[in-house]
Amino acid sequence: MLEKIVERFCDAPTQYRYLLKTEKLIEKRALEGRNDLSNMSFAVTCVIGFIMSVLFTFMPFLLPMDTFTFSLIGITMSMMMIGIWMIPYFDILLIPVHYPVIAHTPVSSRTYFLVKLTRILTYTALLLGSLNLMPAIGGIWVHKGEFSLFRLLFPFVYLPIVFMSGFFTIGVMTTFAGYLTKLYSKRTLRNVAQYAQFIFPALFPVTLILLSRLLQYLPMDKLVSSLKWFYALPNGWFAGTVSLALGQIEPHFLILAGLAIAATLILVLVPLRSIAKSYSEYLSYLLESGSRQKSKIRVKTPLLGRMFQNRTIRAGLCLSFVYIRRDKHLLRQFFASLGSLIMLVVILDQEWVLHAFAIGLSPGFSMTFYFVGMGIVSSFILPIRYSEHWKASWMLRLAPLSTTYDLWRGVQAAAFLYFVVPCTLLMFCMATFIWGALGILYVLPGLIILLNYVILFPKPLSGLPLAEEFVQSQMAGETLIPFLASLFSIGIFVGIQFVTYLLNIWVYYGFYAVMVVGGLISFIHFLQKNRRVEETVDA
Amino acid sequence: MIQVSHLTKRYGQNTAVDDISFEVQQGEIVGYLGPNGAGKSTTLKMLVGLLQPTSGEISVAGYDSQTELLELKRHIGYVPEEAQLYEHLTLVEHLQLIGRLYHLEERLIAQKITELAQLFDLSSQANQRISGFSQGMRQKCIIMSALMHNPDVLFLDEPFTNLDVGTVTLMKTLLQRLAGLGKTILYCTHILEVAETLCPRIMIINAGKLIADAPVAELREQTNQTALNEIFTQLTDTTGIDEKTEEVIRIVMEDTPNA
Repeated sequence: MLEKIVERFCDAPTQYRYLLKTEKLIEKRALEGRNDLSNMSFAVTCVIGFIMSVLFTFMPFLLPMDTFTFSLIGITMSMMMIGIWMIPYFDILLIPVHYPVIAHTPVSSRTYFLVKLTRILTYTALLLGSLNLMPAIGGIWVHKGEFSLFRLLFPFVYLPIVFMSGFFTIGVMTTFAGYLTKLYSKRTLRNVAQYAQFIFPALFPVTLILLSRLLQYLPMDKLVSSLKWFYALPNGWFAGTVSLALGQIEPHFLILAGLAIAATLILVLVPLRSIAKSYSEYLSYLLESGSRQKSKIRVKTPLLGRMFQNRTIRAGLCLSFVYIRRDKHLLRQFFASLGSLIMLVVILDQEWVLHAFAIGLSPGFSMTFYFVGMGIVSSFILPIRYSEHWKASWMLRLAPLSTTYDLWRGVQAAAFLYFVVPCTLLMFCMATFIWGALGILYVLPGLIILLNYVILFPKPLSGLPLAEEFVQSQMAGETLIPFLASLFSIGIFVGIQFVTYLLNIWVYYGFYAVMVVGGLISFIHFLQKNRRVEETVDA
Repeated sequence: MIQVSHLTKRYGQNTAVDDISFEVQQGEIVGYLGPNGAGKSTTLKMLVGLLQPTSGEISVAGYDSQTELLELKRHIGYVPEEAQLYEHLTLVEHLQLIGRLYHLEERLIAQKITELAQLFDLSSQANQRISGFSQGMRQKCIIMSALMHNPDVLFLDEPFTNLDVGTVTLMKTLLQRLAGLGKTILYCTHILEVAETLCPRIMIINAGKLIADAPVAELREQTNQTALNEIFTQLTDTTGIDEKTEEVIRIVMEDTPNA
């Protein structure tokens, strides 16, 4: 149905249908041959969305609210989740790998843009469904609404409008991404898109934290009237449309509905139309070279690369180092993870976060370190297995390597040197600032966990970096699953620390010592184990 | 130097390479010819260890591909048909990567990069990203990679594709000189003119089967043809060219509706 709607905006429907069919086929074939778990990653994201929506659905049973408030919360949650979860999918638009194949054919810019947009909208629609199905049903029981008869219509009104709000969000993001693509014509602004993409995830937690702090100073009775602030925002417009469609014919809802419809129409007719028109120009620019010629050959080895005598490790490290700096996928993931650093500043401003129960035991500080560290390390070690240049991995397979693990050790070395070390140093500086020389004891557990995280992080099946093809639906889920799993296990870990402290301070110290020494032994053990594997293969 | 015995590669029901056997001696340049999809590239990929054969035995430079693949890889250089490279690397970074993978000394890598880049006219682009390279420059880059570690056996799959005339001439002379120095070269192509001038011995593969393996002169005698393209046409049964040409023209001239 979605495709049929988009097709109406197309100037060559036949081309549109075949291109879309091909895109889907390519993605399907790229997914074939991968393990079942990674194939399910998009489904996992949808399940997480569904669970969140179920929790939200029970809200009206605990807290009386009217239709507008319920819709407002539901639509806001949906728009925010779509905004955050769909960021990785914008690579479909910004980095179309197969464009050179059709670049010379008479496919119009608009058709190709709509093909790419349809793929993003398909994922969006699936996520919207998982996020809003339960709230749509739950909305029937919103008990502050006076229009009881209309309440039964809630799912039929809410679902189309929340879908419209989701597509509106994607439209805004596409406009944002689209205008950035125009800036690509200026070389100095070539990488702005990467920097800009991290603004969303960075602003989200900061806004939440700042809002929560602002709300502390507002009395509860004023909070209800504060809902009017949302009249100025798109989520308020769409929530107003829901109220209007449910029979609450009031002037302000009329205005809000008018704003929602007008904004959506303007978005489609003006910026999206303009971007669609110039999309192929941007793609053509992508095919061009952006480098300047230099006359003198400079053969350099990165300083940190010289630390490793094993040349295969050095090769892996240097290859990773170049890709960290130049690959859009890696850069985007990295910048997105920097969002957590901004959150770090705000969180560490809260006194309770920095409260230390005993030496080395500040759950708030530790959790912040793990959260930031894991985020930053994961932003590198997971996507480094993928590359748009994955076909070039024949060179790595051709090389006489006794085991591909050495190349992966180069990647691990890059993770240690370029991510774990700076992150630990940053946290160490903060800990020293707060707790003086004892600060190291607050940082040590985090460092041990990060070291083990890197060494135990599952290597790709091929054992080679940059050797797998990107599949958007797989990437997004694969980022989420290990991150949530590691965060969960760290929560348990910090919990045990705290429980041992409550039992007896010496039990806590004992546990702390065992944790640090055990963690170090585990790290050295796995490091040695990997070497033994290599020697066995050699023999 | 290269010994292949009953080599077969199947993809499901489809047999890409069907029970082929041959030997290439040290210092020989052998042309490996065949029409598109005949199984040339598949054979080469099996010889260099990128593909696992379904059955058969391979020995290169005295090393068995099943039991001594690592040693085998140390002694070979390979130029693939498609120039797939890590495009975010510069030429220098790419060659450094290759040199390290073959465990060359950093000093030697630097020296070879500088000299090879100059000889292949790429010194001004040496610190430029490969993403900005033309197809010919990429091909030069792959050829340089294949020569970096001084291999004993060279497997070349359409190595002259996209190269300019000057570089092709350089490559032809270079390959003959390398063969003179004892290097073994298996040269895979469908451009018969180059094969005719470069390769004293020709092997022809068609539909996965080795249908000819002899010096060019001997093939001339066998087929009563003088030009290699005529020999090739006769052996691969590529007949009916005129009819096919007419048919193609008829199809092309048909009105094409606007998309």
